[in-house]
Parts: sequence; C-alpha cells; structure tokens
Amino acid sequence: MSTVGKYLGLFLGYLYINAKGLLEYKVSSLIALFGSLLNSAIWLVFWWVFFKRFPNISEWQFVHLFTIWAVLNVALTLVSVFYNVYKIPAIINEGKLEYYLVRPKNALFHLLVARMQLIDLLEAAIWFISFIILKPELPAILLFLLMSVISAAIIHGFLLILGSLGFFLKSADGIGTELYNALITFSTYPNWIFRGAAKWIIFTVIPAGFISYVPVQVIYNRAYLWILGSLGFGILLNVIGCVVFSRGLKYFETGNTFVLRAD
Amino acid sequence: MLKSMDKYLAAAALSAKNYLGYASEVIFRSGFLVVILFVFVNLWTVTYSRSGAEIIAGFDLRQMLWYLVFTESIVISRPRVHLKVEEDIRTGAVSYALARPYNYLLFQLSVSFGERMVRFISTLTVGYAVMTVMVRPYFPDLSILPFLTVTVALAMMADLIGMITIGFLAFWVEDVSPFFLVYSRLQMLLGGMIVPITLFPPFLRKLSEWLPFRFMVYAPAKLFVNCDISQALSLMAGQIFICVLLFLIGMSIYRMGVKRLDVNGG
Amino acid sequence: MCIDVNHVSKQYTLWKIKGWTRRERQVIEAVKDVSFRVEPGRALALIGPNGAGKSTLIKLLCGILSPTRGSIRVLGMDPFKDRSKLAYHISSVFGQRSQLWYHLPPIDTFLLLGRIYDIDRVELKKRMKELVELFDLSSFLYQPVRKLSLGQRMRCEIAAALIHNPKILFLDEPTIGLDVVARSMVIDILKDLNQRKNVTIILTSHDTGDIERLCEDVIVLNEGRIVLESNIREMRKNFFHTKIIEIEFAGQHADLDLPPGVSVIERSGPVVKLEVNLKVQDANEVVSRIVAQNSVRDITIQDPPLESIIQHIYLSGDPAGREAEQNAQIDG
Repeated sequence: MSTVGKYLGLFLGYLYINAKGLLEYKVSSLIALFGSLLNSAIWLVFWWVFFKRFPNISEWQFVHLFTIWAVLNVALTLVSVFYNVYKIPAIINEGKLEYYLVRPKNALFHLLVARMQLIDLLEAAIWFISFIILKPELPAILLFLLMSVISAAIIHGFLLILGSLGFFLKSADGIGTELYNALITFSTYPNWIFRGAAKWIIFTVIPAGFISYVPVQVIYNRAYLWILGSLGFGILLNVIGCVVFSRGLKYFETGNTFVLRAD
Repeated sequence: MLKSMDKYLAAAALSAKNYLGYASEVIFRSGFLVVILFVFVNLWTVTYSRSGAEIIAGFDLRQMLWYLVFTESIVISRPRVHLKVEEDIRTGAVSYALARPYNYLLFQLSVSFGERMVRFISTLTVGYAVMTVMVRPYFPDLSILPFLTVTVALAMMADLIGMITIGFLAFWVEDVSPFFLVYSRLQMLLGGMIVPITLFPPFLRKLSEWLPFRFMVYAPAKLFVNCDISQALSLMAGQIFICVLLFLIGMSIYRMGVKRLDVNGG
Repeated sequence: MCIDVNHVSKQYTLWKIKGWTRRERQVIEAVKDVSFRVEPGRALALIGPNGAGKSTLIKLLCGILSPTRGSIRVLGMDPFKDRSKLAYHISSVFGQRSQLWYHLPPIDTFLLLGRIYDIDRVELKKRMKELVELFDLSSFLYQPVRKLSLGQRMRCEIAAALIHNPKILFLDEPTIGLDVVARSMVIDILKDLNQRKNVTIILTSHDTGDIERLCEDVIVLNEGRIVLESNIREMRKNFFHTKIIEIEFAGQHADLDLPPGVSVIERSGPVVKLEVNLKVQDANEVVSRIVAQNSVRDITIQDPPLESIIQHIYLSGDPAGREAEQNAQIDG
C-alpha cells in the first residue's frame, strides 16, 4: 500500500468509528444542532428587520447577509471533521499527545482525524439546502460550495496556528479561544461596517474578511480573482500552522517545556 | 413577613461576597464583550451616518450604543441557575430542601441574584471602560439612579425566576437545555438584547409586548439611556407584576414536580 | 540486546513566573545518569515513589522525549529518531488513560488499530482471534466499553496494545483501581505473555504484589537515580534481615521472655506477632524456645512483604542502596 493509501485508510478508519459513535449520543448532539440553528435563526431575523428598515444602507441586501451566514456555517461544519484542531492546547497540556506520538503515523495528521463531529454535517446540509432555495442557480451553488471549502481551510489554518502556540504558551488556550470568537463574530457582519484599521485587521490578523466579504464578491459580483487570493491565504495559514506545530513538537520532545509531568 | 425575608437577603449577600473573589476573573475574561461592542459601535455608527437619521427607533446614536452596553451586561452576567436546579432534581438534593425552613425557589433566587449582581457590576465596568475609549463617557442623571437600581434588580429577578422555572422542568425531562435555549434566544431578540424592540415591524413588536422578556432586558436599559421618571414607575409596576406572575407559575410547577416525586419516588 | 540505556540524563526547564515580568529559570533533572540493559524476554519492574522518574524513563524508551545526555537503543534503534519505525514493534498501556472508544464495543477499537498499524485484514483477523482466546474476551467483545467492568476493560486495553504483535510492552500502573480477582487475572495473562510468547515487559506499579508475581528483575529509582538494580529473588535474600513469626497461643500466656533481637510488633488477644532480627537471632531457635515455654495452637514464619524492603531502601537512601549492591556482590 502506498503512503497516501495508508493515510487515506486511517482517515476512513476514523470516519467509520466516529460515524458509529455518533449513534450513541443522539439526543445531546441533536440538542446542540437545534441550539445552533435557533441561534442563527434569531440573528437572521435581526438582519431581516435591519434590512427592512434600512434597505439602501449599502449594496447589500438580506440575501447577501444570509449568504455569509450560510458560508460560515457550512465551513464550520467542515472544520468539525477535524474536530481536534479546536483541542490542540488541551491535548498538549493534558498529556494526550503521547497517544499519537507512540503510533507509527504522522502525529499531526493522526490527531486531526481522530475526532470528528459528524452530526454537524446535518447542519451543513440544512444551510446548503436553504441556500439552494434562496438562489437556485447552478454557478452560484458551485461557487458557494467552493467558497465554503476555502473558508473552512482558513478557519482550520487559523485554529492550527493558535492551537500549536500551546506548545510554547500555557495561556494559548484562552487567547486562542478569544481570537477564534473574534474571527467568528466578525465573520457574521458585513465588511462595510468596518472602517480604518479594522478594515485591515479583517484581512490579516483576524481574517474574517475572507470568510464574509470574499464569498459575497465571488458569488454575486463574479470577482473570480478573489478566489485565488482566498485560496492562497488558506494554504498559507495551514502551512504556517504545520510549521508552528512541528517546531512546537520539537520543543516539547526536547523537554524544554512548562508541561512538567516529571512522574 | 419582613422578618422571614431576612434569610433570603442573607443568602444573597453571602453569595455575592463569595463571588467577589471571581470578579477580577470576569473582568479579564471579557474578550467577547469587547469584540461584540466593537462590532456594535461600527455597525450603528455606519447605519446612523449612512441613513442620515438622527433618531432611530427612539434612540440617537449615543443612546443606542449605551443601550446595547447595558443589555449585553445584563444578559452576560446571567449565572446558569437552571442547570443548578436541574442537578438538584437529578441528584435528589431537592428533596432535602423540602425538610428545610425555606422556599426552594426563593432560596435559589437569592443565591443566584447575589452572584449576578457582582457579575453585572464587573461586566458593566468593563463595558463602560470600552465605550469610554471607543466613543466617549456617558453620565446618566444621578436622580434616576435609585429607580435604575430597582428596575435592574427587578429585571434580574424576573429573569432568574424564569430560569429557575425552566430548571423545574427537570422533574419531567432529563435535559432542560433545549427549553433554556428557546427561552434565551427569544429573550435575545424579543427582549431587546441585540436591538431595541421599538425597531421591530408591528407584528414582532406586538409579540414582544405580549411576552415577559422586555421587562428583563429592554426596560432597564431604556431607563439607563432615557431618564424618564414617570415611565420608570409604570415600568416597575409591570416588572413587579411579571415577577409575581412568574413566581406563581414557578411555584405551581414546583409543587406538581414534588408531588410527582412523591408518587414515583426520588 | 533488547534495551540498552547508557548514562542517560533528562532535564526539564521550568520557568517560574515571579511578579509581573521576572521569570526564573529552574532546571529539574528528572533522570540522572541512568544505565541499564534488558535482555529479550525479560520482565522488568521500575519502582520508586512519585516523581522518581519512572514515567520519564518510559517516555524516553518510547521515543516521546529525547534524552539530554547519553544514548538509548531499543531493538537496535534510537527511539527518538526512529520513533515511527519503532512504533510498529513496541506498545504501551497507561493505566489511567484508555485507548478504547468508550461508547463503542472493543472490536471497533481493534479494527481501527489494525489501520493505524497497517495490518492486513487476514492477519488482523488471525491476531484478533488469538487475543480474544488468550484474554477470554468473547463474551463482551460486542458490548460498549462503558458497560464493561474495570477488569474486563483492562483486559481489552492490554489486548488492544498487543494487536500489532509488539516485541516490547510498556505498562504504567496497569492494575490501578482493579479488585483482587481482576488484578490477579491481568497479572496471570501478562505472565503468560512474557513466558510463552517471549514479550519483553517493562512495568511500573505501586503494587509490590504485582511486581513479585510478574517480574524477575527490578530497578528501584529515587529522585531520578537508580538506587538498586537487582534480581527480585536476590533482593529478597539480601534485604531480609528480619522474619515475622505469628503465634496463636492456646490459653493464657505468661509475659513472653524474649531474647535480644526479637520484638513484639502486634498483639491482639491470643495472637502475637514477633519480628526477629536475623543478624542477632536465629528464627528457628526463637520458635523452639517459645513452644517449649507455652502451649501454642498455631505458629507461622513469614518473610516481610516486598513493600517493607522497598521502604527500607528508600529510607536508608542512596548509600544503603550502594551498600546493598556491594553486599549482593559479596554474597554472590
């Protein structure tokens, strides 16, 4: 078997076991799904009220806003397939990393595929179907899917970098959570409300602009060049994340680390 | 009657004192508040300037922003008392409370109220600091302060009684969180947390007026930015009515639950 | 040679935060100049109090950590550099940390491990059949792990660790929290594995009973150093300066007239426990003397438990360990 085949096999093995585990705690995951959808619904009502009251506030209408919510949520559910990316600092601090280190597979790949929150894919389906109902045009649907995948890559890379800082900083978990929350919050608002320095921040430190503004530009204004920009940024974040992780791992292994579990 | 309220006041004071130690933690963990306020300042500044309106939904820009700081502080400061009640019912601790000389609902209300006061004041302090930096400071009329304190207290009590009542559903269901989700999301929208209810189109506004949530969030925040004493009095009357109503509903659910416990065993 | 550890030290750097900005560097040496060898097929126990460096040593042997000084060879490989390659040949069980999927039956974890270790289907089926028989898992192979007893779970845990046929098995507190029956079963299986399948076992445990039953060799660590490296049988011989005599008297017994070197350590009704210092007194002589003077219903002579020997080693500290080693050499 080739290396790629082996790793694909590992992914499928975890996909199978996670899917099987899914049936075990149906109720709590369905409640979480319900809560997430309800939360989105309430915000969408707010935006519906907002655009009804201020129809000419910008070139955006309710449909644009719905699109960024849909892209963000589909992207988040895709990130849930690599659910451990949220848990990297905890995995390091609680000594769970060793489980992956004593295995013959790449530790980062292994840990990323080990936990999947597959119930979230149901949410992705709901958002996807509602987008189709709102905009039943094939090019728009395909672009929607593409931009969701790219947005997922950006969120994933962002989390990977922040999480891997956990090798160096004990407080990485807290800081990471704050920055992640900021990313998600900024991604649910139209970009045109940000002025001055904030305009730059959402395309750099907290790349919410790639998740909200760019998909709208691509889907509604056919600004296809932006796709390359977003894709490049997503790849860049993930590459940096991998580098930070492997540097951190070295640091961890040589033991120059605060994670002192001498016993 | 007054004498018997002593123990509840003491419980609230003790809980507040106990929580004081965490107040600094609340302040350091307020990244979310900073982010959401930053977004709100941007959103409404742009909205006011682009639409050219001086007054939107009865608020000018400054009032709108301070209104939102206040509603966020009220909602964020909420302790998870419904989960505490759920746990008490699941573990059977609630049956021990029957043997004690206090009303279980009022006792939980006192304890959570004490905690919430500390959290509310620390959250509001952070919000105030953030807004002072981002916009400019705001000084409400001092004469309104006593009224404001009372409406805030009544608003929180109404909310906490609502949450405890949701906790009581644990006599029948295993997990009360879906009920709380509906409650809190409705409150977020129809209580006026993310936007004043006066912005709503007529049917949503009607709905909001028929529900108790506006007394928990909208009412005190509105008073904070718009000091109108005659309004304050009618508001408080409404809040007291809601508190009593929710208390009666809560107590009857509790009695039914306890009876059920009696029949089916704990 | 299976494991060869040569003058290995492991340091951790700890940053202590003092005040707002000052940070103080503190170096902690978890393992200090440790050397030892393990032949294939042996069973070695690592013992020592908390913080003695047992777990650090195991992590070094698995390649999770790299040594600050010295060299390690495991199955001819450098565990840190060849970690992924070595991983196919070793395995580990950590008592407090499960690798089984809690809500799923153990069989699912076994199948997943097959993927992790690239075992082909035919081979995997064969291995699983063997392990199911060896560990007697068939009755609960398809039950969710959460419904299994702690003992059943630990058997599954060890079976899971063996699915890729490792040559070395590292066990960190495998019997923690188990009741007497379950513990005994786990130890029996491990012993069988060690003796019949020739799997090298490296074990840490707080339970000296486990160690006595399972292991031939023992390394005692204290504060990162090897205090004693010995064969268990030899250790007993060299550290047994005492024996315990338990006597049940038939009726009222007069005040015992005890010779020097004998002391009473417990007294409950007609039963008296004596400790005899063998350097001063012969145990048999003490027994015959007591039997001659009193009417005795029952009498037993026991060795003190391994526990107390280890305690003795710790208490007397490093020099005693050295002394013991020297004694052992002289005796040998």
